[in-house]
Amino acid sequence: MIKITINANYSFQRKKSFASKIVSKDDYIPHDENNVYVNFDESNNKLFLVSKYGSIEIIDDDIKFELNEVLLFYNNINQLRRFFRPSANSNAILLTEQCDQRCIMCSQPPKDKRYDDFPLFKNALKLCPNKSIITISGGEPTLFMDELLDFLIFAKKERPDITFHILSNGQHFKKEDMKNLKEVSSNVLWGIPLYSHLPNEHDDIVSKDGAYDKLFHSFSLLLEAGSRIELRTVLMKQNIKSLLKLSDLIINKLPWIEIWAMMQLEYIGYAKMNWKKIFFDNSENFEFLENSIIHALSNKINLNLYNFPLCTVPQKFRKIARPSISDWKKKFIKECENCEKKSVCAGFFEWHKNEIGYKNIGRKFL
Amino acid sequence: MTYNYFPYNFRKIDHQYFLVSNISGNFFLCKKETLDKIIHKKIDNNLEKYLLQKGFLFKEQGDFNWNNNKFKLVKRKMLPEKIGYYMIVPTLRCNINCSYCQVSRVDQSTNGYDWDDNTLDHFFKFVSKYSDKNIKIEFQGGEPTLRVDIIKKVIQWADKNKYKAEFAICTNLLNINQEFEEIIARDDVHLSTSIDGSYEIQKNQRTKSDDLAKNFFKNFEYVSNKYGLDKISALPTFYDFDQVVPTIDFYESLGLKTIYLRPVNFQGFARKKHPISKNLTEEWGKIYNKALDYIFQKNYNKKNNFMMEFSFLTNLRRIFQPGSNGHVDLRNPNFASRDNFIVDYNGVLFPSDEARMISRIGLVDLSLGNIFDGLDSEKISNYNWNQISDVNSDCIHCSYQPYCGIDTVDDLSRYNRIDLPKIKTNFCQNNLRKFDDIFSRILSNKPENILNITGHLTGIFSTIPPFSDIIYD
Amino acid sequence: MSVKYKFDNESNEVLERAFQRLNYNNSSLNITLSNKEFTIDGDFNENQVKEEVYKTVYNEKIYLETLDIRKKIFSDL
Repeated sequence: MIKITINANYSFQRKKSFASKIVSKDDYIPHDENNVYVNFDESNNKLFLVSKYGSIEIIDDDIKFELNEVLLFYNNINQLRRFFRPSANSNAILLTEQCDQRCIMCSQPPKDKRYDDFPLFKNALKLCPNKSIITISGGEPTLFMDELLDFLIFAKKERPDITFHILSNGQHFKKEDMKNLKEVSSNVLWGIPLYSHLPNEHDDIVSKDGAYDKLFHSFSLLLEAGSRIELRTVLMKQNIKSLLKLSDLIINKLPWIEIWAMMQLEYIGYAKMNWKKIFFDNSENFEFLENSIIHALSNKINLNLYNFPLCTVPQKFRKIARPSISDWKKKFIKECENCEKKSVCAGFFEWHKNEIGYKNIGRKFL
Repeated sequence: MTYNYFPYNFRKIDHQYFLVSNISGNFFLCKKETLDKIIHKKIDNNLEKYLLQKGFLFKEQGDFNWNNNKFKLVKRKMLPEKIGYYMIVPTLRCNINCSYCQVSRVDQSTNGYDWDDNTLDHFFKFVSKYSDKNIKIEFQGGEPTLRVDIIKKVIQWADKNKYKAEFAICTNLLNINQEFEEIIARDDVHLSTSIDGSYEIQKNQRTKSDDLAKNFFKNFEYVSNKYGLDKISALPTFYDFDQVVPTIDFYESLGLKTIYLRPVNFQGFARKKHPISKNLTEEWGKIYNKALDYIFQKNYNKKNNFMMEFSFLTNLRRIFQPGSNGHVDLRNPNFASRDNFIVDYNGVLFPSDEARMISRIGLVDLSLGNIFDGLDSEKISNYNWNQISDVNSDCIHCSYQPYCGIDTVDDLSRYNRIDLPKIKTNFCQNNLRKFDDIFSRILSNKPENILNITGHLTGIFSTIPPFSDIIYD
Repeated sequence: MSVKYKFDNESNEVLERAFQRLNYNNSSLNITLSNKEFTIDGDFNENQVKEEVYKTVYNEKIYLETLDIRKKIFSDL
């Protein structure tokens, strides 16, 4: 697993948080706080980052920095955060852990903590490589709708090459947001969950009455604003049987979405708590998925399977399964040892427990 | 609840079921009693819920249902903004003389029917002006491999100017020299050839001599073995309809996975030879359905290497996949100079091959300009006004209008006039039959039909149906 | 043979349009419209003609009822 938040000793007084890009020692500009370089002290085996204000000692082991990585240095804690890693398959800003829903499979159960610091993020953004893709997640990012939209408009102006993938429950879009939404539409992909075609089934899963209706009110606004949507459906025992009807709803009322992602569970947070009640083992029975996959693909819906190990998916559908798990929380298991498909497989979540996971790894569908 | 209806149409499919479709192509099937209720606005809650679900109702302009309908409608009508597809005729000369050859050839020794450097130069200027970097260039003729040098120059120019180009070469495959093979080897080059049937047919209709027929099959085998069957596609032309099924078998034996079943379309020289050609529609219709059944049954009995029929695929996509607007054969509006052009041997521009042919036989001049002087916007405008089915009195009452197309050039070519009621045209009759056939197959519930419908739409041949909840009662 | 079809509940405008289309598309038949009733004389299959009349009348009915919306849709595009 790759650490995103790193423990560090700052050798100087920090008046404010700042963002820096890792450059080589030769390219380092001493008076510019926006760059640092890596220094390895062989005499005591310690790793340092050298910045305008002084050096920062890395306390955690096994940290491998890379050139052009963007880091956030906080003024109030002895940590630094990796904002952007060029070689990562996913780079995310965790905006907040607050959320107004309580999805039964939530991998990031709500806490009353927030991490928004848009001025800092704006500075960090300017340092990112060309055509970076940045995920913004939470909790619920749109709890800070105005600041978020402001940030996105800033990004569109300063770095129009950068695009965002924002995970949101779609409960807080208002008519007044439309103008801003339109302005940033080409640079933002909204990842919004819809769990069922039935209002009460969806509401039960997100543990919020009226969520479905609010969601569709948002969809109406998003359609009008020309927003790009990645519709996300986590598959569980609760909604697997109505998947075909959901597919029909999508082709009739949401044909304009950019992606429909069917997702497997992540064994963490509420999902871990509720596992036995919710986990649907597609390696045992792919039938409900088959019907809706064929239906969606036939109607040219851009369907993707996220977080499905390839061997748990029938051969004919593997072309739509994506290596979606972020590298920092991804692993392979011992059954994967001789598998040639690792580079294109989603693999498993770091915290996946085989004993209660898929019954048929690599056997049934090969 | 006061809901409004989007414009819709209905059509009887079989003794029980009607197809009901609306202006954006949403559809369902129902019995006459239900249809009557809808027409007379006597719908119950259940039916209302269903109609809402299927996108037939809305409350007010600009609401969610309205916008969804609008989205689909726009998707079905969208044509690219820039010209992206050029079909060019570097030479009209050909080294063989197929019996049904349209106005597409002159003798190999004839002068004055090739592109020269001046033409090339103007072509490059034209493309730079009207296209962005994604283009497809198809070399037709005559026989384009008689001028491999021109093909090479075009490809080199595209490379040098950083175009993201795809190249297709329509060739009789009789001329494979090293120069041509260098081109074939490129990943962005695809070949298209004609295989009318097995050896005897190929010889009789196309090559005329045994030597050339042998040569053709030898070269075909060489190319497909060396570069794979993805490199080359083949099209048949059916003159003798008894040969359709044997030719399907023959294609299968060659490992080809797609076949395009269409009858010979007599025009130009060929029309002079075969005056009876005008009444082939009904005869072909029967043969086509039988051939489709044959292919479908074969696919149903297989485990892999399924065969697809191209015109079935096209019509099917037009129903289920809004946005399938790439084929001039079946789309509406069918404007010229939006996304594709034919560039003739003399640099003259035409909206389609058929337009080029009927212009050549002197019926009417459908050229839309040329690469030297540019586009003739008045002619293009006049042409385009007749390529919209949304204003045609027959089409606006047709359930298939959202999926169908319009082809005024075909009407002109067959009937010498464009004001014939569309319902009486070959284009309409042909497509009515194909769409009727598709919906009959959907209603049939036969697994062979479902397997092939799903297979054509997704590439996955499975008996899982590609539709859900489309029959109301 | 001769058949009659009455459409009491349909407007004159609808029936008039349907009458014109029926004539246009079926030149071999003798069709008259009077008092909301179609009379058709000639040599034909009764079921086919009945369907044709039904289809044509209701096509026009739907067309006229949704014409406003059709115009709005196209101007909105």
